[in-house]
Amino acid sequence: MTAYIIRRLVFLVPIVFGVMLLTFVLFNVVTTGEAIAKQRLGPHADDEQIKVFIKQHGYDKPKYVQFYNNMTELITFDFGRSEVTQQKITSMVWRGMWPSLSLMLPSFFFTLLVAISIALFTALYRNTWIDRTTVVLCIIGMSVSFLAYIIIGQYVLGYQLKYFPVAGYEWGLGVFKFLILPGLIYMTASLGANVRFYRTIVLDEINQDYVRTARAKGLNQNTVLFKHVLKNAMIPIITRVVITLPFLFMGSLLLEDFYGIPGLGALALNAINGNDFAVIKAITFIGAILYVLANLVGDICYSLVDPRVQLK
Amino acid sequence: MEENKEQPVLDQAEEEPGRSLWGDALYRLRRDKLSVFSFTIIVLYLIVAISAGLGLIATKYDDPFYKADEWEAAGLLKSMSGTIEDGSPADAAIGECLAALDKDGKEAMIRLLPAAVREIAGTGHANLADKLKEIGRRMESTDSYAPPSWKHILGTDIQGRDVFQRVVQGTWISLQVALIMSVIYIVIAVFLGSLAGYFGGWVDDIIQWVYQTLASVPGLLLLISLTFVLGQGLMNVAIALGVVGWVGLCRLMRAEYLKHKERDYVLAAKALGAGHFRIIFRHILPNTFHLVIISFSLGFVSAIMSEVVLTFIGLGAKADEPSWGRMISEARAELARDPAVWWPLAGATAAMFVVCLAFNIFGDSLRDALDPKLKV
Repeated sequence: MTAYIIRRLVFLVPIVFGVMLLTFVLFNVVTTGEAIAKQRLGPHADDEQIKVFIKQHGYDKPKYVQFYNNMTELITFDFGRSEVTQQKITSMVWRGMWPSLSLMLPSFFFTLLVAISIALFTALYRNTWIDRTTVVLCIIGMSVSFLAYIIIGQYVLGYQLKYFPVAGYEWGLGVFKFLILPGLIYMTASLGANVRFYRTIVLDEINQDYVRTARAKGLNQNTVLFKHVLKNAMIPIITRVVITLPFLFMGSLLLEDFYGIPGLGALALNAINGNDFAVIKAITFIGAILYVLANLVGDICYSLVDPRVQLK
Repeated sequence: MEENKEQPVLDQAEEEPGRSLWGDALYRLRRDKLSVFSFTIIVLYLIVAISAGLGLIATKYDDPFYKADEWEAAGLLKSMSGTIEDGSPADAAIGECLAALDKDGKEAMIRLLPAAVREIAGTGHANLADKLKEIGRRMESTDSYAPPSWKHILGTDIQGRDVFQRVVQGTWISLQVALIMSVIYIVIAVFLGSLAGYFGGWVDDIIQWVYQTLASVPGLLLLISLTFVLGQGLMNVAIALGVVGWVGLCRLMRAEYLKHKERDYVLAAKALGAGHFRIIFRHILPNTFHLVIISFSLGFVSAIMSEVVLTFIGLGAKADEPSWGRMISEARAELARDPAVWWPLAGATAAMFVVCLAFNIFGDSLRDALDPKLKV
C-alpha cells in the first residue's frame, strides 16, 4: 500500500510542474508585462508609469528568472498581494473557502442522495414508461442554461413569492436561510446530468452475472438492488464524488455572485472584473492542486475498495 | 402461425447484404422517431443560422424601432386631409408632409410635421393638431422594452430593437462559436490521440503529460484564464473552448488507436508497405471516426452553454452583439424593472433549450447507434 501511494505521489511531480508551466505561459508569456500594466493602470498611464509597474512586478527580468520566481511563489503558496485590494491573496483565498464550502457541500451531497435514489428507483422500473420519462426529463433539464435556472429561480422564488431571502450571507448558523435557495437551484440544475450518470452505472451493474445469480437464489428485487448492486456501484460513485470535491472548494462563480455569498467564486469573478491577474493566477493554481490531490485520494480509495487496482 | 410469420423474415435476411457500420447506424437512427425529430430540428437550426449569417432573414436585428412608424402617421395625415377643406394652407402642409415621406423618407417628414401642426392649429382643429403632435413625438421616441405583440412577437429590448430578430441572429453566433470550437478541438484531439495511441512510448508519455496537466486545471478556471489572456470577444471564447475541450476526445482516440493498431487489417497494410502516416489517417481513422461525430454533436451543447456563462462573466460577447448569452445575462437587471422585462430572457432561453435539446437527444441516439459495445 505504502509503495503504491509513494508511486502515485511521484507521478504527481510532472503534473504539478506542468500546471506551473501552464500558468506561467498563460500569465507571463502570452500576456506580456506591458499588456498587464496597461490593463491595470488604465488608458491614461504614461510610459514612465508603465516602466515602473513592469519593474515592480519583475516583468523586465529574463524569462527563466521570472519562471523561477513564479515557481517559488507557487510552491510556498505565497502569492503576494492582490493588485486591487492590496490584501494577501493567501488569506483572501482562505477566507473565501468557507462560504463556498458552506454552500456547496450540503448542496452537493443532497443532490447526490436524490440523484442516486432516483437512479435506483428508475432501475427498478427499467424499460417501462417511468424509466423512459425520467431519461427524457433528465435531457430536458440538461438543456437549460445554468444561468437561466439561477435568474428565474431567484426572481420567482425570491422576489415574487418571497419564500426565501433574495441574497445575502452571514457568518454563523443563521446563514442557513440564505443557502436554501441557491442550494435548491444547484440541485435542480445538476440533477439531470447526475441522474443520467448514476442510472447508467446502476444499469451497468444490474446486467452483471452476479445479479442474475442473486435473483436465481430467490432474493427479492429490493435486496438485490440495495445490498448487491448499490455496493458494487459505490466504486464509480466514490470516484465521481472525489473528483467533484475540488470544484466544491472552488465554489460556484454564478451562484455566489447572484446570492451575495463571499466565497471563492465571487472572489474569482471580482478578480476578473477588476483585471486582478495575481488573484486569477493563484486561484487557477490552487484549483489545479486540489484537483490533483483529489485524484490521488480517489485512486487510493479505489485501491482500498478494489485491491486489483494496485496490480495494474 | 408462428412459422408463417417467420418465413418472410428469414428470406429477407438471406437476401439482404450485411450492413456496414455506417449503414447500420443510419438504419438504427431512422428507426428511432425521437432522433429523426431532433435531427430535423438541427437541420432547421442550421438553415436559420446560415440564412441569418448571410443576411437573408432577421436583417433589422440592429435597428431601433419607434413607438409609431411612418405608415401610422401617413394614415393619420390622410384622414385629416379629408376633414380639412381642400386648398387651405393646412391642407397644403399635409400634402407636403406626405410628399416628403414618399420622396425622402421618414426623417424628412418628421422635419415638416411641426409646420403642419401649426397650420392645422390655425384652422381651429385643436384636437387634430394635438393628435399630430403626439404622433410626431411617438415617431421620434424609440420603442424601448415593448412587451410581446403582433408587431414584435418577442417584444423589444432597451434600445427598441426587435428581440425575436436578435434571437434569430443568435443562432448564427452560436453556430460560429460551436463550429470554431469543434474544428480546433477535433483537430488537436484526433492528431494527438492517434499519435499517442499508435506510437506509444515516449510520444505517448509526453502527450499524456500534456493532457493530464490540462485536465488538472478546473475547466471553467482554465477557460477564464485563457479568455482573460486572449481578451473579450466571441472568437476568443471559441478558441479558448477549443483549446480546453480536446482532452476527453483525445483520451478516447488514444484508447481506440491502442486497440486498432494490433488488428489484422493494420498488419496487412503494413505488409503492403504503407507508411505510419498512411496507416494512422487512411486506415485506422475511418474506423474510429464515429467517436469524433458523437463528440461533435454533444460538444455543440457545451459550446452554447459555455458561451452564456463566459458572456455573463464579461469575457464573451460584447455589449452590442446579439448573442443568447448577452440576452440571458442582461435579464438579471431587466427582471428587476417594474414591470419586469422577461421576454429577452424567455426568447433566448427557449431558443437555446430547443437547440440544446435537439443536439442532446441526437447525440445520445448517435452514440447508441454507433457504439458497437451496445450491439449484442
